[in-house]
Amino acid sequence: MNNLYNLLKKGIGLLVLSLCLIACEELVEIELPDNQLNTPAVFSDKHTINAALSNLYSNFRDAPLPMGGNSGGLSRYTDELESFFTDDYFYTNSITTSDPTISQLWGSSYSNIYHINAFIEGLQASNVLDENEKKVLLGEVHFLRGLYYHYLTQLFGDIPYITTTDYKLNSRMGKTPYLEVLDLVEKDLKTALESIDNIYRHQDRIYPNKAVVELVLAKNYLLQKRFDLAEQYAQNIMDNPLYALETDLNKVFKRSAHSTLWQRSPYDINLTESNTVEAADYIFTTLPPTRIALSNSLMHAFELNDLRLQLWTKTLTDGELTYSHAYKYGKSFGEIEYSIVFRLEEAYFIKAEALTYQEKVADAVNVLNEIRTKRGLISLPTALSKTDFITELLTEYQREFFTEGGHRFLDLKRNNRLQNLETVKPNWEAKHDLLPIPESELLLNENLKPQNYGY
Amino acid sequence: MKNKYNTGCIGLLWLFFCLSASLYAQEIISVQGRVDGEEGPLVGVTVLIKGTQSATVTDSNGAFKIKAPKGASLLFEFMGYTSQEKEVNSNVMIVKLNQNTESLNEITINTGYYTVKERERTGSIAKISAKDIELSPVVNPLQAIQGRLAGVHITQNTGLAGGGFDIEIRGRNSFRSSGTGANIPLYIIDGVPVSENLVTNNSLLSDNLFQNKISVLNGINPKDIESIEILKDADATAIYGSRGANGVVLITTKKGQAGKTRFTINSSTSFSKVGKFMEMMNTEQFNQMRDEAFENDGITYYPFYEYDMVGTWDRNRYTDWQRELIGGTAISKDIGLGVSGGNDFTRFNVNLAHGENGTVFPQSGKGFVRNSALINLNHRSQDDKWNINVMANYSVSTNDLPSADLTTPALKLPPNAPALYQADGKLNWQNNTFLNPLAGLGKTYDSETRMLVLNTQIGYKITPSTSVKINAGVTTNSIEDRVLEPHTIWPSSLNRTSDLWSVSQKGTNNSDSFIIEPQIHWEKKFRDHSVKALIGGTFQSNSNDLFRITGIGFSSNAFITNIGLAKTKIINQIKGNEYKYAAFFARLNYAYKDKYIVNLTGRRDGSSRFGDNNKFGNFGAVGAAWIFSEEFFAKNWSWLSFGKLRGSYGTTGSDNVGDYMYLDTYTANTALYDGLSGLYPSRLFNPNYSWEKTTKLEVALELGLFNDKINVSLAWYQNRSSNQLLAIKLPEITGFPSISDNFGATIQNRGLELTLNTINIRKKDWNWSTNFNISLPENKLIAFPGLESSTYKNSYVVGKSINLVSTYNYEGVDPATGLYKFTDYDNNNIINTSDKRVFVEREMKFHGGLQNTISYKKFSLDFLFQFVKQTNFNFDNIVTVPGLLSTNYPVEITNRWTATNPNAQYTAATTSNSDAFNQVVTFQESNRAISDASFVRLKNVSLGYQMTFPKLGIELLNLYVQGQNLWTLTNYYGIDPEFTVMGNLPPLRTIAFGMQLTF
Repeated sequence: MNNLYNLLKKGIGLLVLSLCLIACEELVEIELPDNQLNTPAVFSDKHTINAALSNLYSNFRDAPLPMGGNSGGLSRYTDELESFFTDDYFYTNSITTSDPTISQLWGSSYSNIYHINAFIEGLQASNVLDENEKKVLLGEVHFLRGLYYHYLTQLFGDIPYITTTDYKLNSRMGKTPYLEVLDLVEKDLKTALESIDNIYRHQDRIYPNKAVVELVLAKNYLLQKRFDLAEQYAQNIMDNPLYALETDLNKVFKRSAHSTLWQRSPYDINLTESNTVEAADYIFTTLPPTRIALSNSLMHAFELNDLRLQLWTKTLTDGELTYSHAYKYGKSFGEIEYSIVFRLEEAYFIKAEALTYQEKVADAVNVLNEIRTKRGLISLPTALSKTDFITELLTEYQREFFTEGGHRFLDLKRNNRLQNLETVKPNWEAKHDLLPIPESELLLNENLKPQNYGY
Repeated sequence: MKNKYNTGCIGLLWLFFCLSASLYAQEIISVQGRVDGEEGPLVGVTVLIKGTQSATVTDSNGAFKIKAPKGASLLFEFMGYTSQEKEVNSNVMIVKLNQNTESLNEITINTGYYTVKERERTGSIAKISAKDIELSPVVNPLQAIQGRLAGVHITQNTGLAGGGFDIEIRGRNSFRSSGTGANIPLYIIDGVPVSENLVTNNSLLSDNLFQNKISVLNGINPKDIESIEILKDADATAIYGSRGANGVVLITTKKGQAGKTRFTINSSTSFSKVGKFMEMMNTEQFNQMRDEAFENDGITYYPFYEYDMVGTWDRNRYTDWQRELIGGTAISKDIGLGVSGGNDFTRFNVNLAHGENGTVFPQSGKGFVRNSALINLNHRSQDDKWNINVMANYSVSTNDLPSADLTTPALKLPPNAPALYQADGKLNWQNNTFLNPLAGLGKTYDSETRMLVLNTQIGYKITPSTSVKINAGVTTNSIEDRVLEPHTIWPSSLNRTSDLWSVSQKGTNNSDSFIIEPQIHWEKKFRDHSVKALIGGTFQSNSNDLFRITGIGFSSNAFITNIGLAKTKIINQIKGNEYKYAAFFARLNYAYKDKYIVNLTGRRDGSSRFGDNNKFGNFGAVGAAWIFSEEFFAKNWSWLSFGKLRGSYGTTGSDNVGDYMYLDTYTANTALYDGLSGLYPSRLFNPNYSWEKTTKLEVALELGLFNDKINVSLAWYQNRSSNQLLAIKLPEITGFPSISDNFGATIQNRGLELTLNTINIRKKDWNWSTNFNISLPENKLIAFPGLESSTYKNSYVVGKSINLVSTYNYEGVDPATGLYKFTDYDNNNIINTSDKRVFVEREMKFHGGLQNTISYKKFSLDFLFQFVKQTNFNFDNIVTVPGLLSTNYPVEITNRWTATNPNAQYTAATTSNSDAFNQVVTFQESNRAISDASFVRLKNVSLGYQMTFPKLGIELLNLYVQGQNLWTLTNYYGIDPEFTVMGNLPPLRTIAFGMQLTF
């Protein structure tokens, strides 16, 4: 009883206390959860700044543009793949404005851009790094932002170019015209170019260096039709002693390839037997395939002695059915592969394309021949007409970069040849050069109207 | 299990300790007597000497014999009868007990912090007691409430035991969807709040089965409940302040009764099935659709993947997939053991129960199993100053199920899909062309939930009019769930191996809370005045830890449950939440001549869910009642036995917005890059949002007519919720889909509730009573400043319900093309979102129930009809284009467009017409997909036969048959009109056989 009485006394004490201190905030004060950190604290420590930066790269790895990590989305959209998915609206070119893949692509891209902008704002307010260290990191993230917008504008046309974290401003943001987006991308990339070193931060080339920035800049100049600059930056990369074309095609997609400009660090670096997501997406071992296979039109684009046909594709047949899959990745376990974002070959193609549009077709043919001969093909004659060469160039792009980074769609689009798809894709229409802006975005922000034409 | 019995043992030991108090004697006489009821002697009446532990029980003739001190009081207690006290002044005593007819004067209503007599109640409170709860063969107490209480609408999310429920008390108060927990009432078990925890998802891995919504009340055995009170209006809920906006559900567990030690054994077995299947197309109809599709497409050469057309499949097979996949009988078994007893000072009740609930799937785990223990101990000191109540409720529930509901495959599989098994008994993959739905069964979900609710209430009377009380409680709710995906779920032809393809996921979610509530009660009566006062404080702290891990690749599936042995281990989530809440509350009640009553309640709340400027909020209410049947003018109205007019007005609030939402932080990312973990911005933050407030107004009339044979209660209420706290939708270009903020919008829930209880027959052998309730709710958005320029302009309309869906206007099937037609409001020849202009309300017009209780001699029959008048999404909401091999459809799809049937209900069959495929979403989001979903359901029937065998010492043997969801009348287009997510297993039809033995 005494104990109870004591307990009760305490209770009354507590009651009195709570009555007296009822306005006291301490009773409802809580600690931060152990997985969260105040924003100013993040930017007052080098390690947490690094963690915030690391997040930007894992964002890009997990939802890489141009297709947000969606199994060969643009390859199914064009003529590279045959799809066996049910209701594959990309494959059948019947995407609607409420397509979840589109919303996901748009949403994750802008979410990642927010992370970049928040990083820029946080870092600029921070004083733990010296100006030079700051500049290097700022360079990298400006590069990432430029890269996102470089792809987004090719997919969606006019888009909002968000550079702050102010949601009140951003939720009303209108669209920036395509050409202006390209100029802003150029600006971001130039900022990056000034501060990023040519030496890689990591020997596995999992962070961009100067050459990577130059490559995206060259790609962007192609879009801006400033072909001399595109040529110049492509040449810089070709002259860069860090890189060399791999003579053995089996080595191009290995981790230690000399042709690699930038590759993505996998989810878990300790995995010794893991394959890339590409290998998991494209390879099948039984017939009929249940997901995706290389299309007939792609297979027919190869000449029989093309080494890429022999080494980068694999055909399965059971006498009745014959299907092929991309075999760039996943050929052998044991030797590690990372997913490659950019490789040296693209610089040759950019140079060839840039020369073509500067009416230097013969020079362009020579550049392309450097690739062709390494792929077991005979050289093209230098006397080709510009139109014919563009046709050859696009076929070469197709054979070199199939199932990589949405190349087919972007290459055809850049060279105004998307209408070529009409012969193999029955539902193809002119409007398909752009994806629709997610319907929900237009509903939530009038200023994003109008919807892309045709949707 | 082990734990449970340990707890039980400790409880019993404690009990014996308490019972061993001493008895002291004075002048003793021997008393003999008999106890009669209305129809003769009563057997088994407890006769207790007040103030002592000594007691006896009447025998088969109603007679008793006891030695008692002269002048002492004898207390006569019997279940269902009003207790009586008599002073010992002679050797012979004849006592007559009256049946407890639960007349208004007798019932006390628990309002949480205080109790009030039904008669003097100023607030709006609905109550259901054990008698009615026990009629339903159900797992979750919420199922037993369905249709029985006015103003309370409960929807069962799934027919699988162990799932969740949507509960709306007087409508939706918030724009936030029910999935966010915005409309969940406050659940309080014997004084301890238990949180549903939806904001952080209480289960981590049950997405496919339960949409991660698992009712916290699954941990409570319905048979342990004495009563459930639902507090609705401001007068009843304002004392709960910020947590009362959505109503309060008070659950009181069963307490012991003084007298003989009673043992109760409960046992029942029940059989449950899906009540009604949808009529799907048969093989002939399906094949006709396929042929037609290819003909319409002009396809004569079939690609290999059209398996039925190229001969890979036998196109003439027929399987009723609903019968095959969800047509089983779920068998449930329940057994319970209860012991209760005690004396005038100390009473105890212990209930132990074990229940198993199977599934209707063809092969699956054990389903839902719950072991529960309830211990209640009440003690009051001999000087009547101390009052101590201890309650412990502990349950371990496990759920062992396939990881996905088979209802959707059962509806979608083509009728000629291949057999599930090969001749050799192995799963049939039909040479890798058939995604066997049973493969999914190999991927399993299992969970284990441990729930402990512990409560102690200690009261001490300082003076006769003043008492202090401490209510302290602890709850623990931990869910551990696991999804196992062995590589064997894939066709063997894929040659997948366990070391790459076997996946094991595990999630844990531990929630702990404690609450302490010191209170001072004071009451005083002088002449015609009666005053009651209460002040108290609350301090509550909740913490919640989440952890989820995935293991990929096991050298053998034998190790799959041990993630430590996985080749790759990924930690998906580590998260901890903390919530603190402090409050001060008070009540002042004044009654004059017991007929004019005023009740004031108030609360000042502080919550950690708000930024520094907004941590505190004030809430309060005034309630009043006028018992006009006491007035002189009513005295002559012999038909009026009771009449009361009551009303209340006040505010309550809600802080159910999620923890930490006002903070500007970064969150640790478990995805690594280059071996480094990341940090990402947690949210768009807003430090300035504040309390959501709901103002409630109610007026009600309560009448007892013809000697309380007819009781009527008619209530009108109007709740207005303003300062809406919600995640305001933002375009994703801002980086986030939403930001938390207050919104100037006001939502009004207004309605009428009528309950009518009648005693139709009360005779010696015959008894018949009827309970009827109906609620007519109306939900309306009455103000929304700046709606036109906000991100909600396409979601809500002022003057309409907030259960609004913007749709395309469906015009019919174009007789010329076979495509659907929709209204092109902007005349641009494209049907896109700017044509989504028709707002359709998913409305609840009325809901209610009709219950009849009939007893004849030893038989009793009880049946309840539930009725709901509403509109909701119908099956067209998930219909795609007819013609594909992948999907079967309801037989309605046979009425589709062909050249000879141009005025059809559905579009032409096709496999490749992109125009048709482009219309799918538009069709699903058209006004055609919302229609009547009203139903009348024979919710519950219970037939019992009660026997007593006094010679064997058996006080009661009740044999019963009970049914749940026996019959449904509806013209709803879909599998069942009661659903929250289409494609979930509907509520099952259950028949239970059981017995209850008390000795």
